[in-house]
Amino acid sequence: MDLQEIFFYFFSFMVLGIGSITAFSKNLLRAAFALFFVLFGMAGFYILLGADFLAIVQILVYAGGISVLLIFGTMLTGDVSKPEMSSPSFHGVYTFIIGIAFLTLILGVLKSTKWSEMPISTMEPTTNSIGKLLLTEYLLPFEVVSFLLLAAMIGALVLIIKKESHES
Amino acid sequence: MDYIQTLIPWTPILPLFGAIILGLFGKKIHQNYGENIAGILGCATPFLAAIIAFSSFFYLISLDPSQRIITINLTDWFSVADLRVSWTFKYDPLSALMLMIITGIGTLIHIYSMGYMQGDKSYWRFFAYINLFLASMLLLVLGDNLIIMFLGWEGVGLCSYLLIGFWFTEKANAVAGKKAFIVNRIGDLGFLTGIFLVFYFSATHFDVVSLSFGELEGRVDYFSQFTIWGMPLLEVTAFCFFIGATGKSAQIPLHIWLPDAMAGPTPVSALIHAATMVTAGVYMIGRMYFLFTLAPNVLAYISIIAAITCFFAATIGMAQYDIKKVLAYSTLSQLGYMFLAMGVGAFSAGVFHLLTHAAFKAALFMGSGSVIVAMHHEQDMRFMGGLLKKMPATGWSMIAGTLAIMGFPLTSGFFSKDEILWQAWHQGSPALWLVGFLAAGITSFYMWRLIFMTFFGPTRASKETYSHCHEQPYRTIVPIIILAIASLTIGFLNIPHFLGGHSGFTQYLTPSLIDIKGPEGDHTSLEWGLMIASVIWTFLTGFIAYYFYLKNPEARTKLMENSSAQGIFSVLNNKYYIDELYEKVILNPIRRLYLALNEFDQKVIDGIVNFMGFFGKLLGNLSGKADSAIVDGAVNEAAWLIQLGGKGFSVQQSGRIQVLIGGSVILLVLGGVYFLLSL
Amino acid sequence: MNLDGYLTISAALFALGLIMFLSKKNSIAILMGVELILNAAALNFVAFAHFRPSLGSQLDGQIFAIFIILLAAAEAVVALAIALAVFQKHQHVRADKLTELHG
Repeated sequence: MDLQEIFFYFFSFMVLGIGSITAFSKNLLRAAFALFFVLFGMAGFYILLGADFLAIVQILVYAGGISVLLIFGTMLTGDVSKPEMSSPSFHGVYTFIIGIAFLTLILGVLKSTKWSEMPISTMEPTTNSIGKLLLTEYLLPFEVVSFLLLAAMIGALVLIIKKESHES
Repeated sequence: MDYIQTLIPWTPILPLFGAIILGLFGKKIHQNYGENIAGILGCATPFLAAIIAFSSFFYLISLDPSQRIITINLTDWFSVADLRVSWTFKYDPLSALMLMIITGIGTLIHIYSMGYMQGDKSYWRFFAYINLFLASMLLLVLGDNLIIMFLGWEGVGLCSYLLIGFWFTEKANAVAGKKAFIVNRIGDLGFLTGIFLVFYFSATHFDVVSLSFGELEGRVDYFSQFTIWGMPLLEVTAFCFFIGATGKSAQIPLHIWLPDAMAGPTPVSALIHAATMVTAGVYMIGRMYFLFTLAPNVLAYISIIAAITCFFAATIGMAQYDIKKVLAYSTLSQLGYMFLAMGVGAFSAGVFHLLTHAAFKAALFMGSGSVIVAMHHEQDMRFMGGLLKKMPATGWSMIAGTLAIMGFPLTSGFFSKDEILWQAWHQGSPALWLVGFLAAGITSFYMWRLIFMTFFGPTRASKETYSHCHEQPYRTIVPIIILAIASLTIGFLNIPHFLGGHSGFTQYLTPSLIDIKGPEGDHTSLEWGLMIASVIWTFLTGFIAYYFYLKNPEARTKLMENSSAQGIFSVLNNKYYIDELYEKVILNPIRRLYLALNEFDQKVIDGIVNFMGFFGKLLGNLSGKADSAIVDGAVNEAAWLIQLGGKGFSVQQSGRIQVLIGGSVILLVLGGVYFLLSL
Repeated sequence: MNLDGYLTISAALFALGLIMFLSKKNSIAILMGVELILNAAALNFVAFAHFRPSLGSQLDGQIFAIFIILLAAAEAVVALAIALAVFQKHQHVRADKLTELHG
């Protein structure tokens, strides 16, 4: 086994293991923190896949921003320590089955498809390339996404502020 | 010839008219014009018929003997294949004689009934029935073929039933009528079988069958070669016809109805059960003498049965208290004599006794009727006695009849009975003679017993009844007197040779009947001997009756204290318990069968019907339930399913995204699986 | 380490996210499930970008993954804002109890 494989297994374990915690934990805060670490694991995967810039972005934005946001949300909306926060009921069994079924399906598809793989190229730093791409080929989506972010911010503010002003 | 051809057919038709008119309008006539008019109407028809009968008779004897068989063809009746039956009457010496007896005695009895039935509210019905009877009887004796004879045969049976059960509101009378009819019917079965046999063999060997007596007489020789069921045809046929005679003329074992028939009015007993209907059997054998002549075994059987009946009935008559019952058993006994004569082949002797018996028995019955009415419908002789002073005409007429029946010398009964007894010895066997001889003595005994108990000695009736007792009016006693005189004198018609006569009666009957001749030879001394023996014997028994019933009644009571005498008496009084025997052996099993069949009908057949009903009801219930369960259930199920679907589908509309996504994933999985599998 | 592996991981993660999404009662938990799903998708893209590059440039998948992250951020913001607003109104964010819009 070479190092890549070890790292792969390490990261997969991390993601899946901690992802399980996220999924099946009754304590929502624990789940939120686990999500944080899952996202780190994902970043690890990205590095393995040669997407270095993406990995960093993942850590910065996803793990650092979104995940923290979720933790905030968890804390702000309800009592954290109570188990009723998120308790899968019996109908969690069904969802589990559905999930497993879905998984089986996808895996089945995966396994039965012959992926013709290109030879692994050397890994280069991608930051440069991504920057270039974003501003040439993917300019439109880039701009749209920034617009989208703006709209999201405004929308969030509107939602919150409006409520507050009504309250007072 | 024309005279007879045109008039004779009216003899049955006139009483038939009378019957129809009285039957339809009798009630009105009775109510509006009084019963006498109905009675006169009822008597007129037989009287006219009697005029025709007697005048035709005199015309007949003016003819040459060879021409005395006259066939009167009226019209065709029906014809089916080979069978061609027509309305044909045969007027010959035998039927002429019967015609005179029936219409003559019939008219007298009709006149007598006007008095006897006086005050009865069904007066008109009586005359209607008795006219109908007369018509049927005339048809019987005039018929030229077996079918017409059978028609009359059945008709007299019917009228006998109607008249015995005339006062049907009393159950016993109706039962007696029923008994008579049913027993008669059993005999008729034999008669019909005989007709069928004759027809069958006639039809298979000849072209045309008319069942007339002339045709039968011609063919009977041809039939003598055939056998049926292993026995000679003629024997079997004769036997079948004799069974019919057994029923109609009350021989053993079908005699049981005659004593019970006394439940009917006395004129009925006189006419039907003494003079005419019961003699139909004798007539029938005489008519078909040619058949019986060729069936010697049957004749032997007839004579044995007749002898048994004769003796047996006489013994019962000894021990009866009812005056009419004594006369009934006497009739049975005398019928036995007639059949005895027929059985030994002395057909004309039998017919002669028929004639004399008709006269004296009708007189005796009518006399007894007169006594009964005078004693306010008392029939038990134990309550009579000493009536001669009160009712001399009746009394002496009955004594005349008694003399005739016992065979007092020179009475009619003497000649006829002695002739029979002689023929029984001569052509039968001494054993037969002995039975008849003994019976003659017993006859004398019981008849004198009757006379002594009724007319002589101190009276045992109540004072009141005795004081009211008086002689009946003329219309009642004149017929009795006429017949009494006849019973004393008719005998001279047939004085046998050994006494110096010509047996005129036998000769008269010859074209119709031919007797079987017994062994030839001169038996004069034997005849004298037998005759004197009978006379002495009957005198002796008459004297015994006189002794025990008139002279020394205490001796009788002392004799009756003996227990064996009492035993014998009660057996005789109860008619040898034959009715009880029949009841037990024949009727009870039939009753059980009837009850079983009734049970079967009720349980099984009605059960099936009820079960069908129950089953139908069950089905109805089930289908109702099925309807509510299945049909409604289906509807309900459908609704439930739709509801379920609706509920299921409404889950889709839950608005909860989790559910929505969940559903989508499920569908995706399913679709994917399907897609994968189909690849 | 080969495509299958990454795709498997991605699928498993997706399943986990799906299960979480479908079964949790808390809205925030549901959002977390969505995050997992998005991550799985992103991983998928990146895996494909690495092992089987598109006809375009090799980095298409990565670009897409970036966009996914961006969109996830936007979505999380808005969702959380809504969750807070709902919390202010109802004092809970339980999805099974928020049925005002239910037909």
